[in-house]
Parts: sequence; C-alpha cells; structure tokens
Amino acid sequence: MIKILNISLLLIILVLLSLSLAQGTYDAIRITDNELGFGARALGMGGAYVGVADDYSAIYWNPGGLAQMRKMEFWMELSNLNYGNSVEFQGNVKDVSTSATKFNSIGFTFPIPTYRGSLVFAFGYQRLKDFEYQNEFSGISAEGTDRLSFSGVDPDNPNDIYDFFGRDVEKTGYASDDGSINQWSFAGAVDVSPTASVGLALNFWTGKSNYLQDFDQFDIYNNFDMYPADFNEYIENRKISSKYSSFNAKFGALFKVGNQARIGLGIESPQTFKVKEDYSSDGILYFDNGENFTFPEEGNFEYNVKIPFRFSGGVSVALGKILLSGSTKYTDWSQVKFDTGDLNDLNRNFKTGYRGTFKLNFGAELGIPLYDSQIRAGYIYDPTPLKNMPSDNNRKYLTFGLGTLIDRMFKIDIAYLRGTWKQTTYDDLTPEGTFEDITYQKLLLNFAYRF
Amino acid sequence: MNYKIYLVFLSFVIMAGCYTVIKHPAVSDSDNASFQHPVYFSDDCNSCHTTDQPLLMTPQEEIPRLNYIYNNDRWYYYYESPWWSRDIFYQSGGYPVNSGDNSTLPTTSARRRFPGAGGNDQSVSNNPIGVAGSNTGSSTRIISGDSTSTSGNNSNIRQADDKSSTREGQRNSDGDQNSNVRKVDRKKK
Repeated sequence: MIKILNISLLLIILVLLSLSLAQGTYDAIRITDNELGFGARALGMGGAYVGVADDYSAIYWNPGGLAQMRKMEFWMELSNLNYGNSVEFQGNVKDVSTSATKFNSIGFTFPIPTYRGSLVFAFGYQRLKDFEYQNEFSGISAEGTDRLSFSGVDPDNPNDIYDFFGRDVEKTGYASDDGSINQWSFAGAVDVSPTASVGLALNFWTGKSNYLQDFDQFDIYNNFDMYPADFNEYIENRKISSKYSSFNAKFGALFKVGNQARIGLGIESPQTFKVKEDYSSDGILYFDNGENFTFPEEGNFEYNVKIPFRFSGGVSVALGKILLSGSTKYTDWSQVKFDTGDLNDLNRNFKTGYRGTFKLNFGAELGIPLYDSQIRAGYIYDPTPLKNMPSDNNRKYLTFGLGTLIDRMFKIDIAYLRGTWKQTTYDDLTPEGTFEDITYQKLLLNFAYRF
Repeated sequence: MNYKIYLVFLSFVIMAGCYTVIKHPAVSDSDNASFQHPVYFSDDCNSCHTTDQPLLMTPQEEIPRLNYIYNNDRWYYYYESPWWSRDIFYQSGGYPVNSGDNSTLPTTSARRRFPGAGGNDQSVSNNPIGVAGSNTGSSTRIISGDSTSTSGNNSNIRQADDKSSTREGQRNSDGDQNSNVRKVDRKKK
C-alpha cells in the first residue's frame, strides 16, 4: 500500500514540480531590473551621470564621456549592501535583513596621446546589480495551490486528490537570494569635433544567483485529522542556482554646449542572456500517524532571455562650484522575451503585464576646493516594470556622496544610497503573498589613481 | 567576437581621423620642402603655434568644467593635465602657470631636436591652452600634410634678427652658433 502511495505521489509531484519550478516572466525581467550601476561619484549624484561621465565609470554610463580623460586612471571600488525587509504575512510582521560586502569594480583607462581631440581606451570589470533578497514569514492561512494537493493518499482510490489547504494551518517560510550581474567591458572613445565625443563599450555580461527557500506548513489546529487526509506537516526546501551570460555593446555620445553644459546620449544594444539553472527540491509530507513521504527532485534547465534596446540621455550644467545633472533611461519591458521552446508561450505575458519605464536620475555636486573635496546628493526614481501597480511599488533612492583628493593623483569617493519601496511576493506555496517594505542601503568606496 | 573587437578598434581609428590627431604632421622648411622634421609631444608647440596659430588642442577652458578645477592646482592636475605633456606645460606641481618667468621650465627633448627653440628661447609656454607669451620668430614654416601654414609677414612670427631661434639662422650657420646645427646637417646627409 505504501509503495502504491509513494509512486502515485511521486508522479503527481513530478508534474507539479515541472510547473512550480518553471520559469515565470519575472525570471527574465529581474536580470536587468533595478540595475543601479556603479561608481561612487556617479551614484552619489543619483546616477545622473550620462551628461557627466568623466571617469572610468563612463564605460557604463556613457562611453563617449571617456574622451574627457587626459590621464591614465586605475580604478577600484568596494561596496557594502544592506537589504532590509519588513515582511507582513497574514497580519504578522517580521523584520529581516541581509548584508554583503563585495568587490564592486576594477578598471583601467588609457588616453592615447593626441595633438588635437582625444582618443581614450578603457577596460575593466564592474558589478551592476545585486540579487540580494531576504524574506521570512509566519502566519495562519487556509490558502494553497495544487502544489499542496496530493494523490495516492487513499490506497483504495489512489487517483483521488486530497488538498492540504482549505483549512487553517500554520505556514512559516524563509527565502533568500544573493549574487549579482556583472560586466567585463572594453571601451574606446574619441573626439569627433571640438564639441562632440563618441564612444563604444563592448560588454561581456556574467552573473550568478543563489536562491534558497525553506517552507513549512503545519497542521497546528489539527484541522486535517480525518483519514486518509490526516496531514500533519509538509516541508520543502528549494535551491535554484542560476548562471547568466550575455554580450552587448553600448554606444555613447557627449556634446559640450558652451563652456557650462554637457549633453550625453546612450544606446544599449539588444542582448540575449543565456541562463543556466540547476535546481533541486526536497519535499517531505508527514501524516498524523507518523508516516512520511519524500519528494526529491533535481535537474537543470537552460533558456534564453532577450532584452531590447535601452536608451539613455542626460544633461549636466557647471555653475561655478556647483554641478547639476539629470538623466533618464528608457526600457520597454514589454519587449523582453523568452527565446526557448515552450517558454515562448509566456511571451504574451510580457506584453500584457509589463510596460515601458523612464528611470529618472537627479544629482548635484558642490565643490569645496579649500578642503579638496566635493559633496554630492541625488535622487533616483525607478518605476516598477509591472503594469497597474501602486505608486509605492516604484523604487525611490536618496543618495549622498563625498569625494576628496588625497593628493593631486589620488582620489577617494564614497557614496551612500538609501532606497525604499513596497512589493508583494507570491509563489505556489504562499499564494496569499507576502507584503514587503524594502529598505535598500548601499555604501560604495571608490579609489581612483590618475597618473 | 574577436572580429567585432577589431572592427570597433578600426572604426575608432577611422573616426579619430575625422578630428582627433594622434600624429603631428611633419614640419618642413619653406625653402626646402623635402627637409622634414618629425614633431614630438615633448616639442615646443609655441615655436610654431602662436596666438594667431593656436595649438590644435581645444582650449581647456572651453570644456565645461567647474570653475575651481581651473583655479586649484590639485584639481587641475587631476582632471585636466594630459599625462603625455605635463613636462612641458606644467611645473613640478603640475599646476599651469599663466604668466611670469619661464626660465624655470625644464629643458625638454624638443630643444634638442629643434635647437632653434632652445637655448635662451623665450617662446616656451607653460600655458596649457597654448597661448604664446612673448613668442617671436622669423622662420617661415610649412606644416606639411593637411595642416596650416604660417607666413613670414605674420606679426606674431619671429623677427629675422633673432637668429638664435630661427631655423634659417641655424641652417645658414657655419657651425659656430651651436652644436645642434651640425646635428641637423648630419641628418640631411
């Protein structure tokens, strides 16, 4: 009898797993969503750097800006991220956080000696987006999906399906993610007129994400006490390790307007991310009489995600000791696509569920030459790619920064970012959703040596 | 992917030809066009480029920058001074000197290659934008290739009597002016 039960359960679970661990549209969107970029000076100015771009970080913000550099630059950056999440589940609130210190960037810029104009090359590595995420919840709920439905429970009618939901149980869960999306870049920029520079960056993208999830559902009130559906507890642990790779190019241009303003433009080519996922899931179901059944599952999956063109533009104005800048980046998330077999069926969901967004960046920098320092502040408004979401789902960052020349060749910049937004996370084990207040804090420390 | 990188590199080189100049056109004398002198970054730009014939480089002040960058030696050095020409344009601190005595400027290879600009020549500029100070000279020089020529009746060119700083003066000399003249003659042979 137990054998029949096991086989039957396993079959059902295999089918369910193939659905439940399958990719959703957000698996594609999340690769480049909430991409902050790098550079302590740039982010201290709220990422409004398309029209400034006069250090190594121009390789990301506007490769055309590299042409402004007159010196070789060795660049290095570290970051510390603190991700805080206040999770509400069924009326219970839990505050959790995670932190990570990472090597954020290393790069080298080499201007070719010129008699007129400028010709500059740069190469390096930078971390553009962090996958850090943390969620813990606990609460009473009666909701569920067919992930919590089981057949083979009744040996006499093995095809009958019994749900381990519909009555209150205690659910507890934990989920975390870490990793990042990174770039290896090679770029060149050249002055094509006294007032115009163009640049091109060739980017090889890599990335990694490690997602862990623990879920426990316990029949705390003994609501499931009737044989054969005398469920007691269901536990599931999931791991999904994803690796990302892609190649693209970014064209940038910088125009000098008078002796006070600069206008920057950027076009990022479409790209295809290859995603390789290794996944595993261990589920175990306990009955009141102590019987238990395990549902191990593991495998790997590969799929492609196509990201469309992205456009950016920015302006900066130098007014005495003050530098004001603003920039925007347009991404049409509805054009993101899967490019792999069955996943193509999901592509219509990008059209219906996602939208184009203008990310807005504003920044200011005040020079304090007496102390060889610059202080900065900025604001980032990053709308959620999802359609029809409340405005508090849009991400808003306040940024601050400080830069100081240690001597005439060595500069240190630090930046602090604080972002806040709300989001709701669903999955097949918690269809009720967890309502999350995110506080994202990042500290960047940047060393630049010009010689 | 490799060929793309080469393509990109090639496109930069082509684009660089539109405006950016990475190799200075050779300089020849007006009376002997076949006699050409290579020009190096370390050469004295103002021996040819005067107020009316400014350096090819875009004047730095025309590039949008915060004002303190121009008024502070450290910031100026960090952002603006090219690594390849600081020994000409900047004193030890890398700070542009806009006026005053130039005699403290270091001797550069320019004067060894172009002796006419060396010695007690006062035309060496330490101004990063290449505006000559008391630059004088009489030689008529033709910049070969796509570039400009200067004529002898230009008020900013050197006076004929400033023999120590003229190409012609060197070429006509019998070798007793300075040893650099002989060096040029040897090259001709």
